[in-house]
Amino acid sequence: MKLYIKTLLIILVSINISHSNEKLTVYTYDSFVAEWGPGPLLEEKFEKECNCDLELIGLSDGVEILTRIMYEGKNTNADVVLGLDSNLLQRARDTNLFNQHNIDITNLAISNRFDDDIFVPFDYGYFSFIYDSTKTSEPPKSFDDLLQSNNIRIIIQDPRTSTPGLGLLLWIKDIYGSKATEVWAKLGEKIVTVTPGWSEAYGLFLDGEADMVLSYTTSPAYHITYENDYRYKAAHFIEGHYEQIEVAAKLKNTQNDKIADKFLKFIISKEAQDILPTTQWMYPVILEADLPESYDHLIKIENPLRIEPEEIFLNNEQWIREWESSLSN
Amino acid sequence: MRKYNWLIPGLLASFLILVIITVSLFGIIKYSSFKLILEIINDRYIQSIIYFTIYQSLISCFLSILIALPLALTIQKYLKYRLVKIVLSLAWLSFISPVIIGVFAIIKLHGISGWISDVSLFVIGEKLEYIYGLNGILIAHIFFNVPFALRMILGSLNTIPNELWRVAIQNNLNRWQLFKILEWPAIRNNILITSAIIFCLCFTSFVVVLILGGGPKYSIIEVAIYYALKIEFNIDRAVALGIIQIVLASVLALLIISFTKNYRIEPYIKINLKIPNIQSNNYKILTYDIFIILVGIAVFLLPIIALIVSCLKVSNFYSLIGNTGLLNSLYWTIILGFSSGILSVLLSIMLLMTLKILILKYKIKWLAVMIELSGNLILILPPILLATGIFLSLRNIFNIQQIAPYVIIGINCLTTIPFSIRILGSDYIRISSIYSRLFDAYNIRGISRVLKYEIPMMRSSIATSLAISITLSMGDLGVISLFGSTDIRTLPLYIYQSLGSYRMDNAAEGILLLLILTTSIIFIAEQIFGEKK
Amino acid sequence: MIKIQNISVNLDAFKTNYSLNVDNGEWIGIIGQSGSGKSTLLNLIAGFIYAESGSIRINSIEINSIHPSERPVSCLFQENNLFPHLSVYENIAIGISPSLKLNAGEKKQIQDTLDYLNLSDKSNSDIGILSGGERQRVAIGRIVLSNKNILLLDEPFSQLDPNLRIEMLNLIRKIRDEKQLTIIMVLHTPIEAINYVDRFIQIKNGRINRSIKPTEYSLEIS
Repeated sequence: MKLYIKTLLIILVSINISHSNEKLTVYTYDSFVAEWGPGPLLEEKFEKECNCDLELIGLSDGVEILTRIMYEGKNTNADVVLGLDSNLLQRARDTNLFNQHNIDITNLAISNRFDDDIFVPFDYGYFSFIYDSTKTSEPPKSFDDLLQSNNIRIIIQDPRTSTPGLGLLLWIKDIYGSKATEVWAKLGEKIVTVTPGWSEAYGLFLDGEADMVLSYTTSPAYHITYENDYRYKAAHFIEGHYEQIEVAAKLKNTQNDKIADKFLKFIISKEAQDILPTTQWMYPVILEADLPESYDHLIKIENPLRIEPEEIFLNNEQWIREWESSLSN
Repeated sequence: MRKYNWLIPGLLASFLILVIITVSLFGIIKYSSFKLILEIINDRYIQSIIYFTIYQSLISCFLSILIALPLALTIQKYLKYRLVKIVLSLAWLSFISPVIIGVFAIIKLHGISGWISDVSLFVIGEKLEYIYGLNGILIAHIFFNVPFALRMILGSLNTIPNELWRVAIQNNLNRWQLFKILEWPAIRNNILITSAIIFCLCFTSFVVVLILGGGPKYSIIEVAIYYALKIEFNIDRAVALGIIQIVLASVLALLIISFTKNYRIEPYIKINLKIPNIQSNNYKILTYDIFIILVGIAVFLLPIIALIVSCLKVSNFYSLIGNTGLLNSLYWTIILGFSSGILSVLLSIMLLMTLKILILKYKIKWLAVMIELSGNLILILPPILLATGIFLSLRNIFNIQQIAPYVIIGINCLTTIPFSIRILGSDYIRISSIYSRLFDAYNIRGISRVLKYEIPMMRSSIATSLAISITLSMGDLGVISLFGSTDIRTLPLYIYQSLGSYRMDNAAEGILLLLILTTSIIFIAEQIFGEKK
Repeated sequence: MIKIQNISVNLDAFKTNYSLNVDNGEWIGIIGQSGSGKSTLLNLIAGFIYAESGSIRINSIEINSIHPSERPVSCLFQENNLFPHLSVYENIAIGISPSLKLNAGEKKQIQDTLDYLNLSDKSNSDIGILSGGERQRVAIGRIVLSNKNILLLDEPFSQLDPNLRIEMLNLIRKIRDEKQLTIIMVLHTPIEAINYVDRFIQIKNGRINRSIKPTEYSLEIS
């Protein structure tokens, strides 16, 4: 009992002590701050550089970051948010809580299609269906292919609760426009289940519950790097793949404006970007970043698809409803 | 004034519980709007969700009881065997495991690539897919709740005096008559209350419906609340839905309970029934019994075994030693779990101290009902709203990071109180009524009576109740995901985060560690502190 | 001297009204059908139930509103006289000190009581392994130790076999003689009590019907 109280007190005290240096509070998501994520390494490097204290707070996912900021409003403790999904940009902008950054983002890998005065991109990826090449010898080569196939079963995520889920929704919308409802109805026959988040879906796929799972083109790289396993591959669709860009931004009410700026600059510096591929399993935004060997085995996407944030914002609810009714029959 | 001392513990405990709930409501009450509720109720999609929520809860609860009942009636004859007692202890695992782990266990057994499907592949050359949809939801709910129902029913059966059994046998009652005249009256009330509890659990069963439902076709109110809160950023809507859920759950639960006859806190078992041999050496009956028990084991244990086997294949034990993240999670799991569990049993005992006197001595029904209700209130509250409410209320006053451990302990404690009350309740009342005159004769009263007499005599119920509260708290993923942080991480969170980063091996290790931890706690409590004679 | 006047309490079936005088040292047996209120009378005298009206005086002191532990009364019930989590020694010790904190003098008293009842070898035993008769003896040990001069017995030996029952009654008589106890007893088989009680009183529907001598009673039932 005593030991337990002592431990609790030590934690409380140490939380208080960390106020001694200048502190930058960054809201990000869980897997970012986990010990196998980029968080710990980035924290170490940045703290050395800025001679300050970096506090990374891990929330459950990217959506939660925005939700938390919205609920906290002007009183938020956060100085910077890291890990917002590009699909939510309009909503984030509308909150009016974020400030303009002063960083040059014109020389990034995605600069030909992404430019923003508030949001700084730090990594990006493409959605794709992952399959096990030892079990599926002839993967679909296009969305149409997938829709026509008779023996492919897939697992996807719920667009109402996860960003990949939303990504798929937008992907289909982008390709098929008004025909999206029919596409979903057809796709519905192949869906094994719709999970709340990416973790459950991917786990079920690895367990053999489906032939394909919605994930990122970079997923196979993890298995190659850490498990020396080459069998998982991404299906390459000729219609193109929907892109997800993750961004960071500075809060208007931050007390640490200068350090916030430093941080935003830092995450697109080579030092930080080099860490991302093998921790985030996404593509770094700067061209000079080192990519691990496993990335050579990934499919290359030449035609990334994207719907403008304003359009997403205007139609979000209706599209979700469409999705709900297509799959509810 | 001394005369009213006995009211203090119960009212104090009720008060503490209500304070936490009020703090939560305070954060969200300003978002409630009657007009919005009416609007939402008229929405057809919401109506279909409401219908499905009620439908699946009722069926799940009915099926759970349907399976637990024959199982209990059979097992009661074999309780003296060590092996049976061990199986009963293991049965708790499905009840206390984190929902996501339970769902994975189900999928490992019943899934498309699960054990049953593999058998089918071998025998008839085809894989089976039956788990994604209503079937899966029902199977999962049965998996989670049958052990709880089983123990509750066994508890009631334990209250039938041995003499009545002998009378029944002497009068040559057949199996149906035995049930109708002897067993049913004893278990009736308990089954109803247990059903109400299981109903409420299934009513808010978010993860199961989402993963095993297969798609938006099967959705429950809790999912809509979650969506409104997190994605639509629409607290008004979330609160309106929450109110609808609370009203529906309470009305239906109370409806089920209204069929009970006298107000009593219903029994729970310590495993020590002494039934005289009803059938002697009748192999047909024995085979039938063994079959039923095996079916039971298949329902609540086989999925877990499948999960363990699968985890063992994936995990790599060498990494356990250096894995500070895992060890750190283990540490917090133990600290937070034990704190909630102990607090929960403490508050339950306080509630019962007052309740038993209200029931035994004064027979003041309404006050007893209110106090017991405060303990059970948590069952009808949407967990997401509760946690969000607390977050919204407190964030302006405190630094959330600093109070997080207390909030986690508080909410988890609240969540497990209904079960502690159930497990301890009848034992406490039984002991109080048996020994009340002795206590009076020797002026054994107050705290000293509770500490030196009542608690030692209830040793095994307290042990089980502690074990269940602690392990239930350890298995929470909801509250910890809202209030946890990089420093404060429990095993369920570690597992979920691992899953979210491709780290299936770490997740498997986390699962194994959690299972080892919870099984040990339950075993130590039930097998070691269990029965003396 | 116990003087009970119109003690009344409301039971489900009827309202009781007991009036009874018991001399010091008397041994009274209570007879009556089940449900007639026999145990209720004992509970009222002991104080486990408080009377709604009437008075109970013991040696001229009104005890109706006094807590059971402060009345000069000790009880032996049919079962559950002992706490299962305490040993024989501790169960007996409760008679002097419920908190089980004992000084040397008290410890000696307990030891003497154990010897008196032939329970010394079972002093540290778990209650669970004792036979029915041994358990009642332990309870009697506690009663002896608590040194109260009125003893209420509520069908204490009905679970034991006939020979043991006689043995127990003999033990009670022995203790009664040594300590000059006043005894009020409800017995399942009143016939067996004929040789022990000074008189019987019959209870019917919550009222004391009549008082009857043992010899008269044995004539009646033959």
